[in-house]
Amino acid sequence: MDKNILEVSNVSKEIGGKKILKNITFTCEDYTTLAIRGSNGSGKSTLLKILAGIYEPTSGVVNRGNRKVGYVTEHFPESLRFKLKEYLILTASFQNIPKQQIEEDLIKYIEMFNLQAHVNTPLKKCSKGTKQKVGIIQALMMKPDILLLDEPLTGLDSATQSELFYLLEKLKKQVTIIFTTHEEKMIESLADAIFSVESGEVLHNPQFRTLQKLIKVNFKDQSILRKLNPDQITYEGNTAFITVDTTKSDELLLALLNNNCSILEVKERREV
Amino acid sequence: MRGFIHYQSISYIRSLKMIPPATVFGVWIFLLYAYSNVPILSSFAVSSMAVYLVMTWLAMTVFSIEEETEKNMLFVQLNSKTRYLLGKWAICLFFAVLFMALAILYPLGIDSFRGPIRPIHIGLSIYSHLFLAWFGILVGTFFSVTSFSTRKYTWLSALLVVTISLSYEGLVEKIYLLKWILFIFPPVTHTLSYLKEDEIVQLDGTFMQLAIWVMVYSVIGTVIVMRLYLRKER
Repeated sequence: MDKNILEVSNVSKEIGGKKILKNITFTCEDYTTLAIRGSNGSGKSTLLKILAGIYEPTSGVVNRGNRKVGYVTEHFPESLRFKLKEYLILTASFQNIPKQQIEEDLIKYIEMFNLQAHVNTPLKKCSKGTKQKVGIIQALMMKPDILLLDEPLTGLDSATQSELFYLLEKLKKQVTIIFTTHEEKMIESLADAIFSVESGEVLHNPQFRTLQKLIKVNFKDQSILRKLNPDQITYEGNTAFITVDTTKSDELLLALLNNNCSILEVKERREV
Repeated sequence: MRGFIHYQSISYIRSLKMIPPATVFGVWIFLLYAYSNVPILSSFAVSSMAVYLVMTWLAMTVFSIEEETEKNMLFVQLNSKTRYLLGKWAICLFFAVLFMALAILYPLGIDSFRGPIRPIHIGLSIYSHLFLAWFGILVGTFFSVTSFSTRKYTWLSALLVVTISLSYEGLVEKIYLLKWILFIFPPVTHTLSYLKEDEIVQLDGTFMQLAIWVMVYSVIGTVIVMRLYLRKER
């Protein structure tokens, strides 16, 4: 359990006589962002609820030690009778966090999620995007070790989706994130590892993706590029597209600049 | 836990769901004491039955204020399903205390009773109101959070239990064998048995036996309801 923040072994779940999950086993390391992928009805939300402690497995064990979990539901409740700020203060007060700390965290997250204009708006009157952000903030205010998100982009417009991507990208450095989705875009931009579930069974065990950099560069002499020995390279006239492991990218960029190459673009991408 | 009770009380009060049971209870008490010179203990017995009925109703409304997703979030935020149940019961008890205060202090305030009030009257009234309120909360909880009643028949089932427990004596008088079946229902008439006669009252050994049974039933009932709730929420 030292490196692993979460261990799931042989978890099965039966609801109303129907087997929803069958012998799921995986582990998750600290500060990993794990995507649980699967089609509708595959059992991924049930799995997330088991990880959150909402459901108990019919058989098998979920071991998360004393780690605290924050949970963001797919559909934020529609009938909450609180104003936005009031709700966040009240739910944070369940955790025995000092009042001053709650206020400080609240200011930080309200600013981070750009919700200043809505703090005194009743939640019933907030848009879906705003409610989804509130859902994430309430989980973060618990100071969780693991943040669980159930289809966080469902029903959001593309502008709000991009905003949430950006926020989750920031959060992944601070907390372990496990999210369910069937949207490839979200997996592509966020996940360090992918776990596929279909009809309650594991289709693929977590596949860890390496972070790579794609460098677009203009060169004068092709032999220089060959000498640098990059992982993968393709050419288009005087432009080369180099793929390199993130850990080696700074060194390579420096070498390219020292050899009179012009860097046109540097992009991050993940590969299984 | 204090934070959750605060959250629940705001949510419940804003839902306005307590208005119907509270109104019915208020009207019941005002009508009960519309005339002066009423007997002490039997009036307390009637108001205790009103507390039982109304607390069943109120508990069911307390458990119905959230949708499933809010409940799921609360389970995670509280990190315990038991705390969720205890928080709900705390709200129910708060209203039970308010109803008890009205039922006991109102007739004293307007001097409705025939004869002087003695400490034993007050003691018996607190005992009967308190336990009947708790029985009401248990029945309401049982039919709200366990898998024993489908949503469709929840209210009907709760009403049936309340009616049977109130008419226990009549039923047993007609068919004696029912005594052994009806012991699973809240011992409402056992609790009220010393409030029938207005002329007091020696709290003898029989009273102690009944009181012990009432307490034991409350404890066992609480444990069973809690376990059934946790089993349903697995």
